[in-house]
Amino acid sequence: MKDDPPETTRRNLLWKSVVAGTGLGLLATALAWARSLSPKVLYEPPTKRRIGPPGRFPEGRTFLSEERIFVLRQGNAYRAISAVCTHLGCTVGEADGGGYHCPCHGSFFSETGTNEAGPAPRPLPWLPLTVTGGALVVDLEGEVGPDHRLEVAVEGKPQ
Amino acid sequence: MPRTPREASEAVVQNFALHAFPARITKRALSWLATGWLGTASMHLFVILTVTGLVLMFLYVPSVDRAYDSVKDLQYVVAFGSWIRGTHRIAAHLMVVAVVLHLVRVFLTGAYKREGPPGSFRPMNWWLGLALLLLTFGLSFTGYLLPWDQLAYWAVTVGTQIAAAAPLIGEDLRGLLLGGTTVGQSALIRFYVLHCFVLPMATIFLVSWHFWRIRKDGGLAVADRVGDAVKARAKALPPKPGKTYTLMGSTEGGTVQVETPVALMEEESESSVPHVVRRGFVVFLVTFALCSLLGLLLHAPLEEAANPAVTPNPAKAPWYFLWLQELVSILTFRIGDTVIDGTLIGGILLPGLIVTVLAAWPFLDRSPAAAAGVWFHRTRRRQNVIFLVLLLAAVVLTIIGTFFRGPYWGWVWPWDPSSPVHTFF
Repeated sequence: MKDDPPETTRRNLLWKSVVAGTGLGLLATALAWARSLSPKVLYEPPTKRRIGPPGRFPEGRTFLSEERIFVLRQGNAYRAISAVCTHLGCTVGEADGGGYHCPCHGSFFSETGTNEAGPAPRPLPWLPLTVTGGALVVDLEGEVGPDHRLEVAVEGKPQ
Repeated sequence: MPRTPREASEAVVQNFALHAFPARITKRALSWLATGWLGTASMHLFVILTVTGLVLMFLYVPSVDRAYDSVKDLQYVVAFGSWIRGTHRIAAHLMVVAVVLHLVRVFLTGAYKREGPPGSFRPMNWWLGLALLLLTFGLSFTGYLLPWDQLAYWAVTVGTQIAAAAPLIGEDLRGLLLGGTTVGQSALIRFYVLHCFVLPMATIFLVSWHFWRIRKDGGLAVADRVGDAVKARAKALPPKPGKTYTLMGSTEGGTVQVETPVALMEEESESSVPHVVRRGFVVFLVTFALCSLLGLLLHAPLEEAANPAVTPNPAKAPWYFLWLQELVSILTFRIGDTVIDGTLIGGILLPGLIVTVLAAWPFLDRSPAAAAGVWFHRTRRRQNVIFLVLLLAAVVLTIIGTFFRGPYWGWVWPWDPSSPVHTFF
């Protein structure tokens, strides 16, 4: 051979295309298969829940274990606050003398939900309450200000 | 002589049994005190875990509805079920201990150092060891969820929330682990598959590589000095064409087997069969007896079935993560109204930093070659002291987290009736 072959021959280019094509194909396959690991549908409990007629709640704080919320009633005014600690997701309990206490790392939230002590980075969120078909509905994903109240005229005395 | 590389490699493959160990091994590497045989013990614990785990797999049902009951059956109905489960649990705890102690031994003897025999690269095995340490934690943590009791549910809820604190990828990582937004059926099956297949397979692969690297690196670092002494006295033999190292083409640049003819130093070495095999078997028997006895005596706990509504108070991570949970709690403080969240620092950044610094350590350690494979070499005094102080701090934090933390993560003295000490002893 007198002179060197040029850098890109037809064969060379074809070979590179085959390698690149195979590589891209394998990569695409891997990505598509990995995508199956993030679900498109979650069979989890709904985030908007009916929690029963307003009359079922006594005056003061009521803990709902299914929803992990506290419902607070003052006469005809209703509020709901999340019981999921904003630190690592443990369920907070009622503290003596008002406020909320988290068993995991000792975070303390005041009655308004403000994080006052411990590692919790944010206040407990107040959740929007609505009435649908005579039942209170709480939106576990929503958030309202601490002054938000739902006024419902309830027949009869609080239980 | 092999005529082709294929014949050469076949010769090696067919002789695998003989090639797991070198023909002769230095007395120094055989010594109990030089290494404590902790790596061997770790591997034996993995074998015990595989065998007991296989039995448990026949009896366990990875479904939210059945998991707790099947473990309860195992514990109270299946013949000797509580013994097998107890052995599996104790072996898992001991494996965490053995692997950590193995790392401590390698660090204190400087066995990870780059300055090994010609052709060796010991940092590789140090990295493989770090990966195996992380796999051990992963295996232990994924196994924690499977009983689906309160302990399991809340440890994993807290653990995956810590993963979510990782910057950028945190939420995705948590979603990938849980297969959803809460700890439920998708999380259980994912942890099950990771625990029973993915992580054990990765461990088997890395352990094999780890063992092979020991031979590739010219044996244990604790025996390096023996080789030096012999080399000073004897003249190296030229590579023999029929030997494995020549067949594998591994002699370019030389290895300790080639440059230090161990066969020459009869008085410094023993033949591997039966000496290594016998000691390995003794280590296995001791490890197995310990797991089996402790598994019989200490009952594996099974709390109430998982209940998302009620968080146990206090909710604790597995004991080997309690130093981190303690740090998460300590590192969280407030300046005015801003809360410095210890989760990111204690749960993500600090462990990441520890692993990174350990991985880079063979390149940060500037001690001379003579310090490789020597317990507490004087040139490595400062780093050994710092290492031990940090280790001690982690141990103290673990003890505090385990025994001195009561409701709301508050301080509890061991003599207080509410102290968790009373549930341990």
